[in-house]
Amino acid sequence: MNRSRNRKIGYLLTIVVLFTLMIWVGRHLGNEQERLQIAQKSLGKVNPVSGTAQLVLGGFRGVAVTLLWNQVQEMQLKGQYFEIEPLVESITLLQPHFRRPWEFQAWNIAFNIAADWEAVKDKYYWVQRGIEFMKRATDTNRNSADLEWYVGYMYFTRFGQSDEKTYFRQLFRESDDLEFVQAENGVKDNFLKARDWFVRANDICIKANKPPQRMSPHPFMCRPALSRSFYADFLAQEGTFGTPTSEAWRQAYREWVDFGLLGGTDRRQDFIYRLEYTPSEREKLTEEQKFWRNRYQDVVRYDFWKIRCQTEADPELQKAREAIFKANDARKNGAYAKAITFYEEGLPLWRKIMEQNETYREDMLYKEDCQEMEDDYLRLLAHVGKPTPARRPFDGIVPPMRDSLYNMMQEEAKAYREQHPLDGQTPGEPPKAPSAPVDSGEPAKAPSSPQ
Amino acid sequence: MIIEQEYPDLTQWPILTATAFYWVQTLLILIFLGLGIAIFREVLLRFLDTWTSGGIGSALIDLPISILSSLLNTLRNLAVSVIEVLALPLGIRRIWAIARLSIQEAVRRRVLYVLLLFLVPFLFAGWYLPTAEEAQLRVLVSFTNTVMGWLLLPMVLFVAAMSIPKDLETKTIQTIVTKPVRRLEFIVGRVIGFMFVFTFVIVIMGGVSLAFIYSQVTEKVLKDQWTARVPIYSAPPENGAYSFVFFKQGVPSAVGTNVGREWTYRSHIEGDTSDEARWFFHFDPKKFENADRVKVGVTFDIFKTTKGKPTLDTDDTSGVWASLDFIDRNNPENRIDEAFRVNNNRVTMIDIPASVLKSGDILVRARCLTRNQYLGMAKHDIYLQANEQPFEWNFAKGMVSLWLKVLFLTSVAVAASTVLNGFVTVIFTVGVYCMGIFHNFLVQVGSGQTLGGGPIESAIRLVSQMNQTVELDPGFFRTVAKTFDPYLIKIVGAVSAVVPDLSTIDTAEYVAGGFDIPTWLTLRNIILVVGYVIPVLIAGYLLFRNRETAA
Repeated sequence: MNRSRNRKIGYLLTIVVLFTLMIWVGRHLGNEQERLQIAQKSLGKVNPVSGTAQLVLGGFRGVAVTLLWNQVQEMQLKGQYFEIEPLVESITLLQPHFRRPWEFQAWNIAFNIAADWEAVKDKYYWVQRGIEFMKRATDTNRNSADLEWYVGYMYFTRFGQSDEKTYFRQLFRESDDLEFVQAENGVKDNFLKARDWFVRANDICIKANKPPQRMSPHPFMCRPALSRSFYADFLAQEGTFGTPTSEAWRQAYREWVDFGLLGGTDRRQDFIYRLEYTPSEREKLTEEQKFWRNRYQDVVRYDFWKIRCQTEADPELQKAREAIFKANDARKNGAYAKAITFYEEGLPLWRKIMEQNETYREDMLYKEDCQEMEDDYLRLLAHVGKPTPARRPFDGIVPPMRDSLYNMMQEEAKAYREQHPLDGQTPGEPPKAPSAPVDSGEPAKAPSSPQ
Repeated sequence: MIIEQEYPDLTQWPILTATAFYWVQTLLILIFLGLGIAIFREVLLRFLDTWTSGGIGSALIDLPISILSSLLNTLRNLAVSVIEVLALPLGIRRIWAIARLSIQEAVRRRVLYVLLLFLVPFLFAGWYLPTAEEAQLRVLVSFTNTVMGWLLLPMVLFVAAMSIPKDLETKTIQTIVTKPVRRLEFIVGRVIGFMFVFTFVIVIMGGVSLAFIYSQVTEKVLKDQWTARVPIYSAPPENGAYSFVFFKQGVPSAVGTNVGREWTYRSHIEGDTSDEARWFFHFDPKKFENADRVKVGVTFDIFKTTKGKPTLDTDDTSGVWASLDFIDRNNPENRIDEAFRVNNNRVTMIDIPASVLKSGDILVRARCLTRNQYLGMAKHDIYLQANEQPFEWNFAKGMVSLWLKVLFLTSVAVAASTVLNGFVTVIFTVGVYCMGIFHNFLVQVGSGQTLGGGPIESAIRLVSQMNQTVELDPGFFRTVAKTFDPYLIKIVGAVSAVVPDLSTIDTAEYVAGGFDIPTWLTLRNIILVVGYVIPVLIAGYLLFRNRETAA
């Protein structure tokens, strides 16, 4: 009797001790979770359905996800797109903190499924579904710069760079779904909306002082500035000129400078290498620092964008762009006389800008633009039977437009052969490779690399 | 809608006969299998008995006698069984008594609580169901069907599989077998009783589901999609064999151009060429007698070789265009042309005057009008809409599929539980059910079509993580696999012939897509399942007969 009672007391004591220990261990674990930011609630929004599903399936979670994934693939093959969505949703409910499935499926919806629909409206619908899916990923995974960035990236590329961009952007502006289309500054524009998300991603990186995982920091973090630049560029492409566009370019410039000021010059300490220096600071840089600064600016074409933002903000250039825009518009609508007047107004302005800017003269895009404008103008003159001017509008700045890339290459090859006769080679053998420096991607002139 | 596998119309009598023949075949396979095992068991036991008592010599001498006697015994049993099976209808009152007992038992075991459990998923359902109007009905229907399935199946398994083993364990079975109730009646009574309870549960669940779906969809969906369209699909003309033919450069062909789509359901025709597809419609002309206009549903796939301009509603030069010619075959003058812009992945409804359909013998020619683009089409991509049925009625018809699955599971579980213990029965039934669901795979394994060899070879590949296309390394395991796999494959093949293909009885796709479930399909499903249930119950009875209940 006594022994049995003692044993019971023993059990009771053991229980009490173990429970006390449990409370302590549990609290410790909880604190550790908080500290390492891996607790459910610190990772993001907690979904009870997701939690229940994970608990119920236990170790079979992976198996279930694999089955669901297969089913998604099969349904996609058969075009059962509407049924895919809930399945994809279930996958992410089961594994809410895996980055890859979120990204893959968001991309799958916004790119693949959208592409398989015919009408622009349908495509737009699926792009929106994909982006909204990605947004849910950021809800469940707080503080993931990569995921936030990806939302921005989808706004940026899908609405701004696809074949249907003109119509997508129009639908975007016409949409009543303010939460989806309206940027923080109240404008309905996909680039500005993308910028909001890129800024969020950058903030996370800066706060944590850690580079993103997706890609190297420069192309990742230049995106807000790039979005601003694209926004300004599209304003002009879609026919808005003058003060609003100039102002947009000025804002883009400020954003590029902000981006350039990020980070420092120690490649091991600072997660991003600084690109922007005052002239006096620049003088103090060592050769090695200068080398890396130039190398990183090349990755995002920092200097080019800065100059472009400055130049495009120039009211003169705005005038030139507007004139050419109107000229093209008139030409396409058959108002030739009007078009010629606009060209004659715009082309000299353009020429002036090209003369003033060496960077532009060397930039392929601007060269091509000039050639195209000139070509349109000259062909229009020929078409209406007017005499061609004695001097080409861009004479001395860009060569005239060649009728095809093939001819251009032929001509260049011919010029090369004339300059380098077959010295020491037997006829029929291909000429030696040009001695012009080829960018091999190696820091050939680099002083001793610190790494 | 997409119909990948067509079933013959069961309202035609030769098919019915064939089906009946199929039942008989299954029944015989099961009986021979069951009896074979029974005889083998009896002979073996007797052989071991005589061996221990009189030595191996007398055991061997006794063997032929033992085989003969057990064979005779079995034949006698079989004769009695046949009489019992034939006399089953006479025992209707006794069966009903057993059924009532089963109902009481099921209710006492708190089966109906599952109805409360059923409500739980609906609490969360609204959270993650889609908002797109086109998707609402589809997703809601498949959601409710899944929930019902997942809750019903475990319940059925446990109730039906545990009941007889429990009776045996608690010896309550003795109070029944001593009553003038035949054992077959006992089994049938059990199944009928359980099915009463399960039917009740299904009706309640179906009602709740329907109300839930109704409450979730928007008004526009209620207006446009809350229906069950009765389609008329193409059918071979009176003196023809094909209902759907492609013409490539004027030459008839069963398939069109292969554009490389992985899913080969649709075949393509090239735009702005003489390529075309033809459908023959053959129906009762009275169907459209009173109609003025008739709706035609068209679903084509688009395959583009050039991107072209973005497709906009406002721009008639954009997109891919098709033309449909409806021609009265008895009077080719009576025809109508329709050109429309194709929108893939969804049905385009076209309105045509009913006058062109008045002979009931129609040819429809489809062509792609846009150069460089292809249109994909299949037999069921065009239908004439005969009339519409209420959605609710269709939903109820959809419930029949679920009911049939439950019936199948109940019968298998009851039959198996006569010889197996409760837990083993559950596993066995789940196994049979899974084999039914993955029947296609089973057939592939059984006919040796799967990559990676038979069961043993596959197991080796699984463990060694070896690719399916690589030959196994020579050695012990390879020898084992190559020796035994052919036999295992044969066994799988035999099993696949006995287990029904449950994956084909699902009709949720019809309900979700807003199409009336054809009567013949329901009939086919009923015949398929009932055709299995009867042999299974008889086999269960034969096993139960041999079982010593008083031991």
